[in-house]
Amino acid sequence: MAKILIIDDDETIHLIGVAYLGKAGYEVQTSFDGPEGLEKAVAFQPDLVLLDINMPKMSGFDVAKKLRENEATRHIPIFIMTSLKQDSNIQRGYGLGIDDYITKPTNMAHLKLKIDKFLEKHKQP
Amino acid sequence: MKLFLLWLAVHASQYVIFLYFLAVNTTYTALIFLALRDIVRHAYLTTARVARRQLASEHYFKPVTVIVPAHNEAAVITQSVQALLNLHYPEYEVIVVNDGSTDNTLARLKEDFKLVSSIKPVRLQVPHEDIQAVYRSADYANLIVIDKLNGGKADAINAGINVSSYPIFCSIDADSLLEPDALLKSSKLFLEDDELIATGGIIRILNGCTIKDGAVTEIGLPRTTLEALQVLEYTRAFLSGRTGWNALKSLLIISGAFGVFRKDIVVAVNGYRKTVGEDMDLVMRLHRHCRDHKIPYKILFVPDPVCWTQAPFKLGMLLKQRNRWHRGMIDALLANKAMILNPKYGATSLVGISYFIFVEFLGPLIELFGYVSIPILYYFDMLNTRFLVMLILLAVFWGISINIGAVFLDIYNFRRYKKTSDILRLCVMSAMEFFGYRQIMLFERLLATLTFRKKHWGTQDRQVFENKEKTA
Amino acid sequence: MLEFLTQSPHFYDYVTAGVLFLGVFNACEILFLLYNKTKVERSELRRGNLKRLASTALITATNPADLLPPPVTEDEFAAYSEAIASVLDSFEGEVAVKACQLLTDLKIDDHYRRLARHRTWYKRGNAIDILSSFRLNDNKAFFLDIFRSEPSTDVKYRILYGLSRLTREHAEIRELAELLSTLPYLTAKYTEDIFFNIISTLKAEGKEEEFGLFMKELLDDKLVLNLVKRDCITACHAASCERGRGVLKQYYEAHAHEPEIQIAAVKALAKMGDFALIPQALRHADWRVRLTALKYADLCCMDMLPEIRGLLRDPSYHVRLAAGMTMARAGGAARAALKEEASSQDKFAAAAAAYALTQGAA
Repeated sequence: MAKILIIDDDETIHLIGVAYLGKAGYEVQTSFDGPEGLEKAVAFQPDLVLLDINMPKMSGFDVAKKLRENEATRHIPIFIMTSLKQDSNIQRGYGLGIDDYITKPTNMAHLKLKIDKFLEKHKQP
Repeated sequence: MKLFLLWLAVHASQYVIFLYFLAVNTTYTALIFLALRDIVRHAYLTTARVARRQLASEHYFKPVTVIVPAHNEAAVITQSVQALLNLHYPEYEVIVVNDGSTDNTLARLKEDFKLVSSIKPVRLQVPHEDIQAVYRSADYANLIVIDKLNGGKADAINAGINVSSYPIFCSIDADSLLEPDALLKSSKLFLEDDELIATGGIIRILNGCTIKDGAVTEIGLPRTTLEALQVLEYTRAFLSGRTGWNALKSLLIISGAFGVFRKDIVVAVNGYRKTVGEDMDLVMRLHRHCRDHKIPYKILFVPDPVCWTQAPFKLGMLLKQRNRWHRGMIDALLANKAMILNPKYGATSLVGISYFIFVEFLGPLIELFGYVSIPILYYFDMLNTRFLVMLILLAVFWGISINIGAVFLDIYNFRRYKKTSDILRLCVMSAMEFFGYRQIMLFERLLATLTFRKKHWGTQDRQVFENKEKTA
Repeated sequence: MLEFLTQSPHFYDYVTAGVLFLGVFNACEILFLLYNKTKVERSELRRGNLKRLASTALITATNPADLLPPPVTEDEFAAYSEAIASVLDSFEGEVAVKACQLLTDLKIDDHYRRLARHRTWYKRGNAIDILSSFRLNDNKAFFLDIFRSEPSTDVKYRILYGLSRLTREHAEIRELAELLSTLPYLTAKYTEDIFFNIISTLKAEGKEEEFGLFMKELLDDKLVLNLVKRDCITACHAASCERGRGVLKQYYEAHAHEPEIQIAAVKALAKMGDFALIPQALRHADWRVRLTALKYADLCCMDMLPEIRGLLRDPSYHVRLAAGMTMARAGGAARAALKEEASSQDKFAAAAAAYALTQGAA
């Protein structure tokens, strides 16, 4: 069963994410901010991280950077999910090595399909 | 004849004391109500979600220069600067001004941040002592260090202003700990209002809080009574005092520990003046300049952005600090004499400055009169004991209610102190303040008034705030 | 003197009463403090629970309104509206449709519409903010309606902000711009935000050309403030609205006396890769326009090297530095020229050149 970690300061995202993706058969854990998220990433070792950008304490970009710097989490794919649509942000995200940049509002059904496909491709050892 | 004059003076002083007591307490009560109204409105209009959305727009911000004057701060400087470099802000620079330190502040900075020489031309817009060298960090592109001859805090900030590249600057103390989003919250006000020229946030006391990685993780009241009393004082002064003054356009102090200003206006008034009370002096001159030139302006205090600072934990240090503050206030008032009781300056003069003159400046003298007249009246058998006792009870109870009102405002809006024991302790402090603390402060302020001539920045022992766990 | 007061018979009674009153008041204050604290904590807990309930219901139930208790207190309305607004902000598709349906089923929309007519201005403002976050098309007519009858400007700004998320056609955008111009200009950020919202909404629906049409009409619209026009252009810049590109050059030409509009036009075009305006901007009378042009000059106009070099002697400090930086970035012949200038007689030019050379170094 594939594991997903959601890092977002909005609890509604957690609930909807857990309910939807959980229902679809994934094991979902959530985190409210960057520092906690990084710890969970190391412990939980998810197959995918869904990351928000606007968070207190640590911005999503910083989290992405730290995930890529840490040996234990370097290999984990990252999808950024954010309402920021500016060019500069998209470029910055990809520059940090994320795998997809998804703008909110997103369609949960499409997102799930995307995740399914992505994880399938990446499951090949 | 002399006896008659003495008798007259003592009687008159009774009147004056009574009126003074009424004036002060009424003012503070009024301020609390004004603050309450402000805070309620604030709560309705800035819900968490709206705030988050506003903070979200990375495109909309004005770049800010953070200026940190440092004199013999080798113990804490690296930590402070590191914390500043971790602020949540899209574009800003940090300028540390080494104000002729005699310890190895500059050496520490050079080593910890890999400083290299910078030859960017400096525009001399405001006066200060000579700059000997400007450095920038090889590791952090937005860290600049100025090495200059000693000139005092005001002087150091002026140097920072000259070297800065951005239209807004924030002046803080070397031992202030800004919350990560404090800069964002205060600078966004400049975006939302073109008339705003200066703003200050709330200063909270760090003693008793737990810090991790340069951010406050747990808030608690400090252990000793002395520090806890200061917490109460700050709460009252900031939440009720400053917010209330906002409404009357009479905000006269923006704390040197955390103030954000528009550079162009500060340059127009020729920067900071070399004096002890440079923060109050600058704000008064800003009021004056704008009113003289009929520039529509706003100087606001907002309780949102928070800056943590260390309160003196030894009585000696505290007294020195208060002495300095009082002298600074007197100096600022004297230098801006033209603003006293001048209808040309509207509410700022008639309300704000009058308050400072009659309550903060003359206050200690009047209170002294009060205490002194008691034995004199007793000697002349004119002491109305019943009146005295009633008056004291009234004063104390009224004062306590104001203190608790301030604590309530804090809890209602910010809910920082979550433990019931902390809240109760604050209430106890509200009463304790009147039995000893006030009198000691009074004495110190009197001393300051009488020895006003001496000008000296003074030093403060530092508690190095490493990643320490809360003690006890 | 004071004896007159102290000897009056009732004086002490009043003072004693005052002291007793204050004593009791203080005790009550403390109790109220503690009571308030627990009340707030409990209501926060309730709110959190309600939000969680609502979010889960939106996923698991086909008709969430059946599972959820209808809101009664202000707190409950706030909890629901927060949850629903969060959902609408972050998700579209099935869950968003259900969330919108929930608004009407639980009569939350109605509640805030009523609140938008409240006596106190900040309560009206709050209600408008919440209604805006729902982004319901039905509210468009409602917003326009209350705008006309709203007395407070603070609330009017919020109404326009709410409208900006619902506007979809160039005629509507124009109307919004004109309404905006009837109010005192607030700030650049607010106005840009409004147009940025509009462009985002249009982009999401693939109707970006509406904004292009709007920009064409705006050029000659006398009813719209120049500052608002400038902010429309910066919104184009921020949102990378390609459809506005064609008309931006005309904005530059038409506003020779509005350097702010010209600067915005130069920046917006440069971001889209169009540097046609840079040569004229380098020669502009206003130093800020020259400064803006210099930022992009190294990408397109190094054939104007003699002129850029001349700007090292510009009267403005910022322009001199920027000229140096441009030459440093451009490299090659420009850097060589910079090295010469570093030892020139003009000390301002020399200082700028020397500094620029240290910056370009790898």
